Amino acid sequence: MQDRVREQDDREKASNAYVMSLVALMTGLPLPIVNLLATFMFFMANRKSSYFVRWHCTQALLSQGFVFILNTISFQWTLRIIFGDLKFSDEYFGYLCVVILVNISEIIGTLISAVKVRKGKESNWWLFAPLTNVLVRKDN
Amino acid sequence: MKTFLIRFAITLTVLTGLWFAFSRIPITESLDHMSFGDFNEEKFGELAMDAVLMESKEIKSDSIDLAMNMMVKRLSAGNLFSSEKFHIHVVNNNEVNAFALPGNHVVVHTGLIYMCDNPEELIGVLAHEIAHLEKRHVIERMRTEGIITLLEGAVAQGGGTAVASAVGELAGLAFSRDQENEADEVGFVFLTNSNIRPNGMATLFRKMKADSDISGYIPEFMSTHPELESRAQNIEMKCAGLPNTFVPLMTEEQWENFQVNVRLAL
Repeated sequence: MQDRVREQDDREKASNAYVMSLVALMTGLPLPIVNLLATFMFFMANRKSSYFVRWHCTQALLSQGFVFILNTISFQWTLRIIFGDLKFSDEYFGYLCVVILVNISEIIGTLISAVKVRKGKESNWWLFAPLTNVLVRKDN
Repeated sequence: MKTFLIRFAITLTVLTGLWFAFSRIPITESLDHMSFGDFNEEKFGELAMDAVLMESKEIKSDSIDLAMNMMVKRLSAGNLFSSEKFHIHVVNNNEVNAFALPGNHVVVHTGLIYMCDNPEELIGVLAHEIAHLEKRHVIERMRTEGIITLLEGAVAQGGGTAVASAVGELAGLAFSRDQENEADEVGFVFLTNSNIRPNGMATLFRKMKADSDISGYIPEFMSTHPELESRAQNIEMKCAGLPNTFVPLMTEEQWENFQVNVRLAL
């Protein structure tokens, strides 16, 4: 009975790693760092948790880190167009389309992962799961 | 780790490909058209050319057209633009000048052709003007200088001299320092990509500098900024590192014939 309760607790924690980034994304827009910070804080708080929780916290953090880099570039580019020396160009528009596409994919992926993990199923992202496997040790 | 690196490389390739594909959408051009209202760039170009031709007569001659079109074709051959879209007009005017107008018109004064000692000097100016057009500097400048609004207002008033006056502003349009630098750099790339010796730009700059020191007059393609001397030096520095794979545009005799034809066509 206690194992089942803990398992349920782990599922919720792991799922929250994904939900956390989504909530922060909603509140943090347009600053791209807010969702990364929220996921990082959640990751730090759960670094001594079970393998299952740590694994998903790490995968969520990696995905946020990737999107953070893309978003930061577009954020800087936009600021330089508005206040600086750059002008609106087809290249900027193209980059913005890519960033929007990646963000939408990331939000959908995060939602799916949050639901799957809460049900106790695995959710391995094609890009980040291999790196997560390397970074998270089982025997810790 | 290897799996991740492979997948990361694939992801970056796909994203870069998507970026390239999305960048092909001519969104800036569409925005320009939207902001013109009933006008479009071609219409502005026609009005501007009409105003120029009121001042100077265009020289029409098969041999001149052939030579000018040959130069633009050489430029387009090594670059990603079509020579067909550019309209080169040689006009009878002793003022040493050349300028780009909306609608891909480039106006070359006979005074400039006489000043050039070889075709590489003339094509250097053409490359510079085409660079202004390709980088959409003319439209940008028209917008920032308020000429588009001026033109629309003039047409609303019934056109005529008001339009001609507004259009007249176009020929004297001065580009910003960044735009001039960009046109120099892009023009240089156009020339080298087409295996044309680019130092003609530098020699012409120096000649014009000497001329402007005496007369005080500096044409648009030279502009007062950035400094002419530093522009010439920049080009020469870039030329120094280039392999000598240049193909001459025409022989000395052909060039002399071209200049004679320009004089005879007047």
